[in-house]
Amino acid sequence: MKNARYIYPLVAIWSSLLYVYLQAIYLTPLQQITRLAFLALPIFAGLLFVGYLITRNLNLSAMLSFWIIMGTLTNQRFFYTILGIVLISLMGSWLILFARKLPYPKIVPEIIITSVIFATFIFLFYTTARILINIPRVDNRSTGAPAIFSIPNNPPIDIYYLILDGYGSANAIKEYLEYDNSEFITELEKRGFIVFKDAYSNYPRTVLSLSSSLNMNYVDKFTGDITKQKAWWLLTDKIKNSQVQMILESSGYKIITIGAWETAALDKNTLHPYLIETNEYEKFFIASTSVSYLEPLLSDLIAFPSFDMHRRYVTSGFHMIQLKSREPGPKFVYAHIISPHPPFVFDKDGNPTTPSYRYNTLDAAEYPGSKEEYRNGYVQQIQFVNKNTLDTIDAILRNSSIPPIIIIQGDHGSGLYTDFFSPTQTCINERFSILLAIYTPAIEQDTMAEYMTPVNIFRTIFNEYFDSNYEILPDRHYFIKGDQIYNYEDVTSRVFETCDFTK
Amino acid sequence: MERKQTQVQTRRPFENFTRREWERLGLVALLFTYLLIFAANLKVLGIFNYVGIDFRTFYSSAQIATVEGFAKVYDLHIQEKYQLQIFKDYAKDYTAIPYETVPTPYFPIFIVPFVPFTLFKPGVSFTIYSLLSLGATIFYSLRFTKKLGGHTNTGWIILGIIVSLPSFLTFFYGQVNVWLLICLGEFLLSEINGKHFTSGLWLSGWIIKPQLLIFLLPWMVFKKRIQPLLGFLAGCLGLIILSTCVAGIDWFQNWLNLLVQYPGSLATTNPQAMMNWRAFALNLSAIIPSNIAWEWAWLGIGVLMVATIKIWFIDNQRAGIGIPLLTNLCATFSITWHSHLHTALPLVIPLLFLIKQRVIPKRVWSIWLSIPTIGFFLGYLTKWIFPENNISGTTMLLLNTSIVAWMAFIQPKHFEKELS
Repeated sequence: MKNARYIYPLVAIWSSLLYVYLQAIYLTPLQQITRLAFLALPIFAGLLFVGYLITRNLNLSAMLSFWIIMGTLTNQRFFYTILGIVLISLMGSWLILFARKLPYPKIVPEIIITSVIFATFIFLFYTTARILINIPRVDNRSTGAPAIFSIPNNPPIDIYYLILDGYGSANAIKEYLEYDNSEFITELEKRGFIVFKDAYSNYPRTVLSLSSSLNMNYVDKFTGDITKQKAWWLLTDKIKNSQVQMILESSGYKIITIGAWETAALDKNTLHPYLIETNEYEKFFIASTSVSYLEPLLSDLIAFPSFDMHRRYVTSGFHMIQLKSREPGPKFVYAHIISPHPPFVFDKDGNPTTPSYRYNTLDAAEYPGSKEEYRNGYVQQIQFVNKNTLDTIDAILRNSSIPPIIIIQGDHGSGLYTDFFSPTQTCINERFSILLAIYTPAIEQDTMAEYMTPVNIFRTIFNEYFDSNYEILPDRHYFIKGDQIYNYEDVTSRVFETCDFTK
Repeated sequence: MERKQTQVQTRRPFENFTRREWERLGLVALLFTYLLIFAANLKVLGIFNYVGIDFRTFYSSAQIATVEGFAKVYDLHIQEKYQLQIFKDYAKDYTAIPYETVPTPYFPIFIVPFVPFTLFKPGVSFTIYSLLSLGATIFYSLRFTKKLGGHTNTGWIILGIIVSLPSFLTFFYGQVNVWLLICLGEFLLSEINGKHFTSGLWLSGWIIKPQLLIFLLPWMVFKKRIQPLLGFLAGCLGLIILSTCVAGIDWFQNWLNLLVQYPGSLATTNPQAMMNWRAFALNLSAIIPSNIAWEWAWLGIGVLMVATIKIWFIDNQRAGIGIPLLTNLCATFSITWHSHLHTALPLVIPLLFLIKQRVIPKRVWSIWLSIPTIGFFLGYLTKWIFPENNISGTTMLLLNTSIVAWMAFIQPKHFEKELS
């Protein structure tokens, strides 16, 4: 306990990490905290050492380190909470120590140190307890998933699965965002793509949509009962070890992942545009503490959450697909580009635009701007995405000796009229309408089903290309109930209805 | 021994009770009655409707401070957004007391200690806060009485403080008067020990409710008590600097804007329920013409001011600053524009001091504990007949005024005798 006199600044960092995690508990798994938790050790040791060099007093050095940490590695709420506990404890220790008739002037430093130690440790206990209570514990064993099989690797056809986050169908974009995207569709068709004009996603959220398409099944079929859970990352393992990845990997495919969002990334060969890539938790931590002020200094090396970072992920994403298309196959390139999804950071010519709010990727009713800003931003950004997509397709086709399979898909549609807490105030048609275009040289358009949803994409491709015999699943569409993202409501009947209330 | 046992065994309930035993029985009965009132209010109105209504604003202010910034705490529209949510979550639908937004007119630094409470849900936080306040009251009362010395029955004095009406209302509403109690106690103890600058520092804690300083500060100036005044100014400056550190520079203007609304018609000010002449006039206006009611009130204020200032000229070695402290506070509570009953809790400090110094008789303590409580219960019981009555506030007003009048016009004769 005597060591507590000196290690409390370290406890303060850990408490801060856990406290920030509490606010992101549904977005990131606890493992993502590990790197920063270990990084806290040299930070603490360095501060204590430098403090000691200056003051030659370990107590004073610890106190200095504590306040430096409080000012830099904590968020505002943490800072004031600890300060509040310290003030209350100061009064408490003063009352208790006075009741014991201790001399006043001699005990002041003791009271202060005791109060700070008490505050940091009690907060560590609090955050740990809250995490233990709140962290989702679920039986997430797979059920009813398709059997893994090997596909004959002859010829070695590369597969590109390009997810353009939030890219709606041309009809929906015209209807709700008042933009005619037919030119892009025509360009795709000219290049030999089969474009499903009326395509709809099975789910309205990325993590659900991608885990479903990559596992070739509906989410509830390969998870246990997680209906009441809110944590997005419960599906991370299902995406990282998806059926599609495992099938292709066991058949000799090289898996390449290009993506900015770790929760929805595959497990293999993930490419990043930064020397030091930060995970979702670290981004959240940086954004909520004073560490974010280091952005101008370190943003070229470290992924600091900002609009600049977002732009870099998008542009480098397209660029990396093109680079990887030169590598020998067979390869499965999975690229998740968070665009045209908000934030809207490009105009139609690719010039940077900066929204008026702090960086975040909120969509639908949570989008921080106005409806008009959404509409304008989306329309501008989609034109930039179109140009880059076509360039990327051209590069892939140019670099492929054997015509590849290219799937370009929106994981869900735009979110101008979406409120997850109110299905009645949501335009299901807009949110579920997606871009779905497939380049499959071996399959004639008329042999492909007229209507297809993402859950059946890889079933169809594997059946057509690799002689597997997957059953084509009935196309269903599920909305979610607020933040309970695994609590579904079947909205299949509403998907095709255009919305009047939006007018 | 045998005879004694037989006597005890044959004694009927309440038979041959000594005065002390009656007092103890009264205190315990009072404690249970308070608990009953507390429980009944919780059952009928729920929490944060009446019980804990002031804690509701402190809790929401802490929420606002961390989400929107400390300077926004004084924005009543933002307060409404947060408080209404707590109200909807906890209060029972009871139209007798409609929802009203309660402001927090405190310096930002005083809001910081409430931030940790937002870690828990409001109901849990209120419970923790009440327990901490109770603990602080007990601990501080213990310290104060021990430091004073001369009081043999400390346990019963502490129980008396806890069951006093201002104390009960402090816990009932979730108020911050324990802070005022501690600051005033330390102010007095420091003065006794000759640490005048420190005493002023402690008094600056009262800046949380600046309306309570309208007599104390002028008295200090009148008496040329420079050291305490400097301490007070230094303390206030420190609190302002700390507040500016946490809230930026905008808070002061916002705080002032809110403060000037107080003498006016802020709904939650509830002036009819106060213990001052303002409440007296407002309540009397229901029976007689308003201008006449206000004339009576101004007369009361005038007499009280004269009496209070008269006491400023009396110097009593034994009483020290006890008498002016008591009378200045009694006058403040009766005259200041915002004066609810719970604010009177710190009066126990000068009362206990003066009793210990034998300047006032012990029965004043019993009177101060019992009369407002009787008024409170009378008011409660007659709510059926006069729903808007303010018997408790009026009782406290008359008691405080009587104390000042007694100290100004009757007690000096006692001092004169003593001196001769």
